[in-house]
Amino acid sequence: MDTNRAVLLQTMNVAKHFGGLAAVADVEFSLYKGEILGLIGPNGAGKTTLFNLISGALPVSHGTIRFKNVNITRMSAMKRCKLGIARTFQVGKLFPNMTVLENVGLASLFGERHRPSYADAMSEALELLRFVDLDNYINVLPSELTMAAQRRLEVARALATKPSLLLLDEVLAGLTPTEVAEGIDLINRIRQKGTTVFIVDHIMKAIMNVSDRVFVLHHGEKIAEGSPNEIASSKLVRTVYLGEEEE
Amino acid sequence: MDSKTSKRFPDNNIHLGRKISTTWVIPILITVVVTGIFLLIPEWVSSWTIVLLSTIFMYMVLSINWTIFCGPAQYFSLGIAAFFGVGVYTASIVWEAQPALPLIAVLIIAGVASSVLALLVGLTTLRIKGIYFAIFTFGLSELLRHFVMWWEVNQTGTVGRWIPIVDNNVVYRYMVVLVAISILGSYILRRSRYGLALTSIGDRQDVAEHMGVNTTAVKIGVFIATCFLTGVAGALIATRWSYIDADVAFDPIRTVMTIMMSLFGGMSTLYGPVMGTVILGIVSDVLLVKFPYLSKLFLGMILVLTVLFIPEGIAGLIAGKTQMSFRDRIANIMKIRFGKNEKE
Repeated sequence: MDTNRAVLLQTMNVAKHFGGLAAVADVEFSLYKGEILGLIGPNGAGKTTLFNLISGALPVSHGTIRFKNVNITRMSAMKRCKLGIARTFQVGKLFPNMTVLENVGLASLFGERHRPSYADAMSEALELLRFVDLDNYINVLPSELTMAAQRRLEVARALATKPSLLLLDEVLAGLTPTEVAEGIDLINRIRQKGTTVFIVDHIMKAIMNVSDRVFVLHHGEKIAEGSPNEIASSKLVRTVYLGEEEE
Repeated sequence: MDSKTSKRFPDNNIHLGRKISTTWVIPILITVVVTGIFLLIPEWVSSWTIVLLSTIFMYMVLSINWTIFCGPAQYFSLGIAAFFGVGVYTASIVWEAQPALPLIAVLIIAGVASSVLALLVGLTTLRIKGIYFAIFTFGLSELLRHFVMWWEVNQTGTVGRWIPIVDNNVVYRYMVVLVAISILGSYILRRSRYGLALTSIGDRQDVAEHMGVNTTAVKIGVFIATCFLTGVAGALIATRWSYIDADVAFDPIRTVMTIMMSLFGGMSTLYGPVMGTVILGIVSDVLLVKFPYLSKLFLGMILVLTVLFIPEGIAGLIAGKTQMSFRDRIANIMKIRFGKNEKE
């Protein structure tokens, strides 16, 4: 059913070894334009490593990554950003000495191929801060924001690079149920803007709610892929992942 | 939603951080007027004052340019003496070869030589972590000092070189212009995209790359520009000395003094290094006159006390960043020193 949709990102045999450990082993998957793809897996399954390989934070050990039909396997993170890949970071990695507006403004200034003027970039950033409901805090430092607000700031900063693909690394972890609901709403609004989203999270409910498709990583290998319902009812997934999560 | 209004800044009461605007005209005008006044000073004061002012302004150039790069980027160059010394030696060599060259041409060539060195240093070491950069640059300045010495002893057979003397007032006036260029450059950079990029590099370089910042290019670009002015300042002040050798040109005290003045004034603002150089420039001159043998000891104490009690410098004191009381600070230091817990 997916074959008639345009492929945005494709990985072929992508692997990452740390010493003898295969954090990601020969993972192959495709991301289609406009969808929300969820990635789940137990701790240490290689989810963040896979994100790092796609965003260019880490070089692959072997394999190929194609984005918009360009081979980006050896491209720097900076060039991948300009090509349209943006990400958030699992542990808060906002710029601590820059204001909320400057955090987003930097991404507006440098994220694209063409360089907007300083004033244009800042008003763009302001608009994004309004989008994530942070426009009342533009002149404070990120450390003064609540955890949920910091996550939204991370999202706004990633969006400021005008990505076609947004990688969300556990943006909902550690939030209250209300904040999670707001987060899901935000992700849906991002999709409405036409941005493709690839999301990793521990909050199963969120992933299942928001994703069109889900794939499961275990010990660095892809063990299942399908609609949220298929994944939730898959026996294999239940044993390796859901089973372990039960208390 | 409303894309037309969103292109403009929404409200006057929302302050947009480092907004770049047409109000550049005012800082440039102020700089021109102040520079003009300082250019006229030699008409009214003694030549001793002019010499002292030249030295202070020289350190001002070094401090401002050091903090432009090292402050936001968190890469601490301990090689100020290297770029300074390359400027000094280049000026001497160029002038010997081409005595007809005007001073301004010699200064530019000296600056370019320092920039080339900065480019090489940047390409090789600015990709690595800050601490290695600090060690490398310090090693470089000592290496250059010993290499030049060795070269002179073993290859040319004469230690040291002559450098034509330039009138004190001319040196002073050029130095005032260098200060003006440095201040204006720092002011503009702080409000530009590259200033923001430099801060992001100092904060989280890996994330800056993910935001599309070409971190290597930004670091090297700013580093080269600041080292250019450092080299020019060296070449200029050397024309007061008439004789130079490796120990004079690459004297590590210039690195120490520059960093001390920057820290004392406060690195987070533009006026910090300016205040630091004025205050410590005068203090060190007075100390040298009153206590010729103890002056460096006193300066060392000032450095230690600055780091311990006003780590944000005078500028930090003024901005109220150092809110900790004297007593708390002592307790804090003791805790660090002896590893005691807060409550035992």
